[in-house]
Amino acid sequence: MTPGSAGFSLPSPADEDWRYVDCRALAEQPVSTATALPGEPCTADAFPAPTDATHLWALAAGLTRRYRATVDTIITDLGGCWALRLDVPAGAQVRLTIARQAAIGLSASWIHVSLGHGAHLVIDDATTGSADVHLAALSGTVAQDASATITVRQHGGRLQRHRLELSLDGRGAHAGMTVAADPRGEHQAHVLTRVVHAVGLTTSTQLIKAVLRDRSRTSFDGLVTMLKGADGSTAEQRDQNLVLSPLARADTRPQLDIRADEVQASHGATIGALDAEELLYLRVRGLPLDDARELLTTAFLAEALMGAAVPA
Amino acid sequence: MTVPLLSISDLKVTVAGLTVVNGLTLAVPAGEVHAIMGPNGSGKSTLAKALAGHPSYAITGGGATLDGKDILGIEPEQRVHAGLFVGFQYPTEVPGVNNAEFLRLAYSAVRKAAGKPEATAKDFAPILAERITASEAPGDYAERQLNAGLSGGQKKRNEILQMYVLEPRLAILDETDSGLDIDAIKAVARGINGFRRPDRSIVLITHFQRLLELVKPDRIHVLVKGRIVHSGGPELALQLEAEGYDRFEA
Repeated sequence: MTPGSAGFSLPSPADEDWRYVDCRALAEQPVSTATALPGEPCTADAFPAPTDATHLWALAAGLTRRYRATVDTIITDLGGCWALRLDVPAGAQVRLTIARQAAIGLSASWIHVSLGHGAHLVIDDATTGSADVHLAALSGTVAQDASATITVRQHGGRLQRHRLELSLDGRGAHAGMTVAADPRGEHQAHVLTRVVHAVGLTTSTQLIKAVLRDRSRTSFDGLVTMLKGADGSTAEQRDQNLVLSPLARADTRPQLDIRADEVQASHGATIGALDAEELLYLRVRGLPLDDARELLTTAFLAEALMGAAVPA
Repeated sequence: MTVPLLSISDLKVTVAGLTVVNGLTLAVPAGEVHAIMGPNGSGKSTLAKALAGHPSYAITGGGATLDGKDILGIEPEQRVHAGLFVGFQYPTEVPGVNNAEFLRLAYSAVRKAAGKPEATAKDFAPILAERITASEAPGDYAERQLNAGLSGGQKKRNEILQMYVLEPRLAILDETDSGLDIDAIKAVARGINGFRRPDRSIVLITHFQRLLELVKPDRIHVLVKGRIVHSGGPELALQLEAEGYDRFEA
């Protein structure tokens, strides 16, 4: 079954949140239910109303396999539609590891997290191999003194899109998001973030790094909202793109919506090529041009590959 | 008559439309240390960068050979493979690149060009440890990033370490003594002296006589307005220190 043949309305660039995505690849992908995942099966009641077009149609199709977990979880995503509700109890430390491998067709996943008081969640989400299409969404709430640290590696797949959406609902709550994207050929890698600082003394950091080769496309659409009453909060949002090919394209849209008076928020985006002086320095130490380029490219991604710092 | 290891004849180099090196001729035999001294803007650093292959420094005349082979018509990395090392006055910072991994790749590239097997990280670790000791580089340089986060003096010491790793036939060191404290300059001087061998040559570009007290040159050349205007023995350094360059600039 494909989304089109099932009569579902697919997202398109006309949808604001999908404006940078070439959605044509979606219609051709076979969709199915995911194979068994770790955790206890659960129903749709465990999830809030979905906010992302992908999941609207996947859920409506009845294709989504739903699970619930409260402890360390490892998921090997081989494709299909799945949803995970992850509740991290107060004071607990939980790690979620997702390996998105060579899926055939469409993988549509939705992880909804709820972090209790003082809970800490670390998510390591890596796409590797020659997967077709991965549409991943993460949403959730972070309570007082809790933290969610998310590292995403987009290193394979014809079309990858990560939507990361967190609400910092308690004082001392923190969200750290780091994405390293390295699409090849005509592949696409897209990131959409939505972080809401709902109360004061909350912190968030976002670092998005993308390397653009060949005819690849990347995009970053990020929004940090500081609600009224979020005084004392800080937010940092950085999107950095390294363009290695004149045929590649990067779109970037970092945004701040500040409704509180006493906050610190910064955002910035860069799109550039390899530094000519750095390249020359490596060559005058004997590295051939291609090797020098690769070393600098790896170095560019290194900061993001290391992931966001986990709060002590 | 033996061919000098480095031979430069009537070299002209243009930067941004300005001829900075203008008819420079120099011969450095194997086994010798030569120093090039001169006033600001005389073309010392331009000479070093042009020989290294910097694309902004255009060769508009003359030639240069290393061990009898032309080095100006080949790529920067090929010059290194031919045995040239240029230590820069302001080494470039390359954030995110680990120093040890960079040195391994550079070492392997030179070996590969010579038809030798490349070094794995395991192979290279003891080699690097030995070169760090020999060059008197601080022990933590393996873990540092390539010049990023290093002070000016630390970068110069990292350049000396690179020279030890690459083992060039000819090392041109551009103001390696600038930015160094007293202890560091002594350590660097010991590093340079320890690198001397009958089949290697070193060209020191410097403003000051202090380095030449510690590294005794065989010859000193005075560079003014892009050409060598006078050459002499090591005693010339003291004379320049006392009298300056006025008499050569007339």
